[in-house]
Amino acid sequence: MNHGTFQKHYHLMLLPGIILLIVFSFIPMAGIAVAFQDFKIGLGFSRSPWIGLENFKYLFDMRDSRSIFFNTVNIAFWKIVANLLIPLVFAVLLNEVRYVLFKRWVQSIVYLPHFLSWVILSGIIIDLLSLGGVVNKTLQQLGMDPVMFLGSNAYFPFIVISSDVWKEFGFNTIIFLAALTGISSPLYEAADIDGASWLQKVRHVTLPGITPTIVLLATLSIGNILNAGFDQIFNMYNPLVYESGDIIDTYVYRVGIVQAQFGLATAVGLMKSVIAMVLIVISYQLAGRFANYRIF
Amino acid sequence: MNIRKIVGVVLIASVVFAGCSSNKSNNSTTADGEPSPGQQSTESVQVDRFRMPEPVEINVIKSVYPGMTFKEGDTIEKNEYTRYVFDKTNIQTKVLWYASNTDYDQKMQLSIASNDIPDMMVVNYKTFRAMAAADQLEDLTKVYEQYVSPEIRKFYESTDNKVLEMSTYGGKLLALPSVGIQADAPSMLWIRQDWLNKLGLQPPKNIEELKTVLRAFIDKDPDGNGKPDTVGLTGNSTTLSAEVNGLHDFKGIFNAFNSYPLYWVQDESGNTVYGSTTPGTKQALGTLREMYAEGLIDKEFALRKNPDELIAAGKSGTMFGPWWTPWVLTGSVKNDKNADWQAYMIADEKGKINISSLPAAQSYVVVKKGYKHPEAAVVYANMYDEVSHTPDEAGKKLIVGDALWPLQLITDYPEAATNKHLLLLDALAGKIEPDKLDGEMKLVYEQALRDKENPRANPDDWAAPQAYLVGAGVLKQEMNKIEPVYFGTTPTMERRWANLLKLENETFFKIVMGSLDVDAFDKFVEDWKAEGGNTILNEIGEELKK
Amino acid sequence: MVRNKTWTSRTWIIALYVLMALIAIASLAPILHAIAVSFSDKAVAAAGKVTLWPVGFNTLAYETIMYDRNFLGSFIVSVNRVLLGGVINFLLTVLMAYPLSRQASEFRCRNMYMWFLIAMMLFSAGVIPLYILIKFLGLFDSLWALVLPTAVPVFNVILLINFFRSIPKELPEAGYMDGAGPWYMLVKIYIPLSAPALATVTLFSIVTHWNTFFDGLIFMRNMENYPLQTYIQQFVVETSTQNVSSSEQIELLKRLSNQTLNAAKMVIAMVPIFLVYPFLQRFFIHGIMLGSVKE
Repeated sequence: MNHGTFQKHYHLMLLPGIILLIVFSFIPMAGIAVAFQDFKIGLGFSRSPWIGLENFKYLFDMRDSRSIFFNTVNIAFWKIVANLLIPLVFAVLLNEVRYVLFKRWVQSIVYLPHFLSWVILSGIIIDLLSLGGVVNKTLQQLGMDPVMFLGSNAYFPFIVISSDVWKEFGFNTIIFLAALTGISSPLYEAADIDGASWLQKVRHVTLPGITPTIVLLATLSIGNILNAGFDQIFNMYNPLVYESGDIIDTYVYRVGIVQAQFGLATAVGLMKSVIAMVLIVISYQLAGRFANYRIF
Repeated sequence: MNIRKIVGVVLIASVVFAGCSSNKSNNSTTADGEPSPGQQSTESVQVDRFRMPEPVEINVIKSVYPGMTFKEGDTIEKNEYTRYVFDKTNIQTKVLWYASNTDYDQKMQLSIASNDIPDMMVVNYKTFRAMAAADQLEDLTKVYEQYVSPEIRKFYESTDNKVLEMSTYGGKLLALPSVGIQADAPSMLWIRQDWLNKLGLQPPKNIEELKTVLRAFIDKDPDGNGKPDTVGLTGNSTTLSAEVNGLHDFKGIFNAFNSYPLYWVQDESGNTVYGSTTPGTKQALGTLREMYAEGLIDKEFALRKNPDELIAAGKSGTMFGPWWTPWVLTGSVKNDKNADWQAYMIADEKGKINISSLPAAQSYVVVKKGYKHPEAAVVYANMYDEVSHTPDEAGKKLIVGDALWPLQLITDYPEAATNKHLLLLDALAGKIEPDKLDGEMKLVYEQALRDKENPRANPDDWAAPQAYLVGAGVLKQEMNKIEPVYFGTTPTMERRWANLLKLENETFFKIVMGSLDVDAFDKFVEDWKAEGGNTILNEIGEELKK
Repeated sequence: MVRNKTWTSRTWIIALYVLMALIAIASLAPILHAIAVSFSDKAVAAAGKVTLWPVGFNTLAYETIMYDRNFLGSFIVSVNRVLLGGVINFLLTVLMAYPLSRQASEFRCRNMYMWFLIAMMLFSAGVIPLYILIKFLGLFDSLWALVLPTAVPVFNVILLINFFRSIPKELPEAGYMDGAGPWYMLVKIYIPLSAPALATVTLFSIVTHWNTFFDGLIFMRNMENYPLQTYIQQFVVETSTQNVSSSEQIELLKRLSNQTLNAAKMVIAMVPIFLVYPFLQRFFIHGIMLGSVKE
């Protein structure tokens, strides 16, 4: 077939979207310049003084820079892993449910916590984990001492990660389920005829069928390696767990209370974007080179 | 082709940004066009202080309360308030945008950052200084002298003209300040009088008595449900001592040790010090630590996002808060009709009640540079001051402080809340006609009457009178008032403050909760000084010398 | 779907259903809690005494939110936004995903476009430049300010590219043989074969348009043009740290720490899901590729 004649149609299809992106995303990016300014409200873009990399230096100068970066990456990394694996396992299991109505209900229900704000959810979590809460009552029944979980640097990151999974796993589940419906039934029929066990079918039919989706979501979420979830941590942390829970975003927020820090905030955004872009390009190249696989 | 596209886009982008910055140059040219006030000597020209000779238009931005409704046919631009303003002063209002007060600050910051500002607006100290430094504000020095009414002058003078000093930048008066109402500064102990009565206790006057009361509140089952389920004093997860208007903090205890965390104050020898680093603060932390260890403070205070729950559920009968705390206590009153909340100040060991005062000015009416009629701001202020204190018949129907006024500024004595307290007492005692009250106080008066008839039946009728009668009443007594020396932000603070505050909060919380020794405080003071504190103190010293 | 009896021991199935049910309950509990709080008495909720069932049942929170005509107005703005924004998102997602799902050998500029999209997704200069742009374009108070900046949901485009590429090659090839052009291929083959994926991205874009509040706040100067979530957001008041001296602020104080309002807001945020999801779910079941052949 001759794809050559299709080219202009392809350009034409892309045209409206590209124009909108240029106007509403690309042009405003001139504002990234703020990252290199000591931006003062009032002075605006044109008159704020240029300070080079000062805003970036600030990030590495702050008290406990090291622990803040560690906390950010630590929490974000485990969130990424858990938010891929758990929805994947859940979607594969749910796919085995034959009773359609039940399946639909479960699928809808697990998506709902996504709509709860952290303001409400953090209240529930604080209640559950409080000294008089369900978890501590259970511990006491088992003869253990009650623990002030949210005041403990040992437990705090774990609580943050697991409650995030609780809230968000329905989202990726939907994507995986949509991908699962795309696997054609003849493949399963063939496997049945070969007498494959359930696990064998998962391994040889289901997983290969949704590998592109898994790889895609994994790659895209690598971009979040510096996003540990501001709203959540802001609503759950306290000075006792700064050590294990203070992340870049909460720190920058507190800087901003003193003085609106558009420059610093833009610098942080830029740093995150650059790192995300680099990681995504690397994974794209690696997948291409070693597995001859194109992620997108 | 794509390179060209990108170049084109960059060109467009530069036009966009040039377009937004060119506004400024337009403005500065119009500024030159105004008649120079220097030509008219202030004394010789008689001006009408309450009315513009010709109709003028100002555009403003407005903060309203959520879900505000208008009378039939009225809008945010055309209503009884804007009509009144126009009738009195010839000033016509246009509203550039409006938002509820929850969103207003954010939206305003964005507006200013994008240089999209109205002719006049009300801003806080930080924004005022930023705009002044950026030369965005019109000089009001001359029009102030020429137009200001004797009444406003009198109120400003009652602060030793400190409010005018705070509104001056580079030798020019760049704003009309609102007088800071000092009532918001003191932190008082709100306590369940019904619990005290039940246990036969006297209201606590100092820390030792407070401890005794707290012990009894925890051990002696004040709520009478037979369960040891009451906790002591409430705290919150953000700060141990809020700068202003703190709820559920320990500011009252710090003050009782002559300690003023977060404030820049003078020590005995007259040097400027940071309040969180003084010996008094160490003592206060030590006491809080003991109280916490003894269980007199809510065990989980550092984790609570919402300590109100303890109050509303009747689990705690003590909290620190400002005079208006009753609005926070409505849940408690609703759930338990017996909940009788009273307020007391906690004194230091010598029996003195220490408080720190607030900045003399609390907000600033500013005029955009280049606006043709800066005197309209003063004319408006004169009118607003008049309607606040000596309203005419039409003015009496309006409520001072209503969100619909185009601009709001408080011109009053710093003790206004206490004055309102006295006014309300007089009205309730029949000493003055209720009709003499302005709209706001009349509302409170009617609520007070209803609440008297049927005590605590409707928490919303209870809250306002309780705040004015009890909360503001407490402030009448003799108090040792500490004047902080500095309220601004120095350059080093902009860069280092978040660092230092983190150090402070982390250390203080850990000391109180027992995971650090009290002596960790000394290490904190050292670190604080080394990590920028000393530089900041020097900078403040420089500024104070000016 | 085909049943497979070889692995199905009864205990397995029961364990599976129980596990799924438990997970569903764990997800449902906070929702029920939020609904219960939203219908409870304000003071009881403030005391933390509401668990999964309303205490002191009342609809005051909803009445507060729906009190005036602004609620209805905002509701209409939101519906319009979802319709207009959803249609624009859908069209652009499909139009962009199809050419980008081609191999670079078929479409020469493909990779350049692709990286441009990814860069647009990852980078942003924040809100100030966008504010200036919208002002420059004169779009304040216009519905377009809410739908144009988000017209291309890049994440959705990438998802759809992925799905388009998983369609077995034989189908389009047959189409090419018959001389079909790209527009015909897209409309007649790719779109019908991608129902589950299209349902997914449509759901995401509807949910996003319904729940985003911040752009409404900054681009709408007149509160009558607020979308619903922006309108509701203003009712969620946090303890004010400013001086309290005007009756306007006192009006605010009455609403302090009002968890019932907060919860009601959440429930309203979920409404479109209850309405739209069951409808979209049909495509998850019927989206199986009919008659497609194994590679």
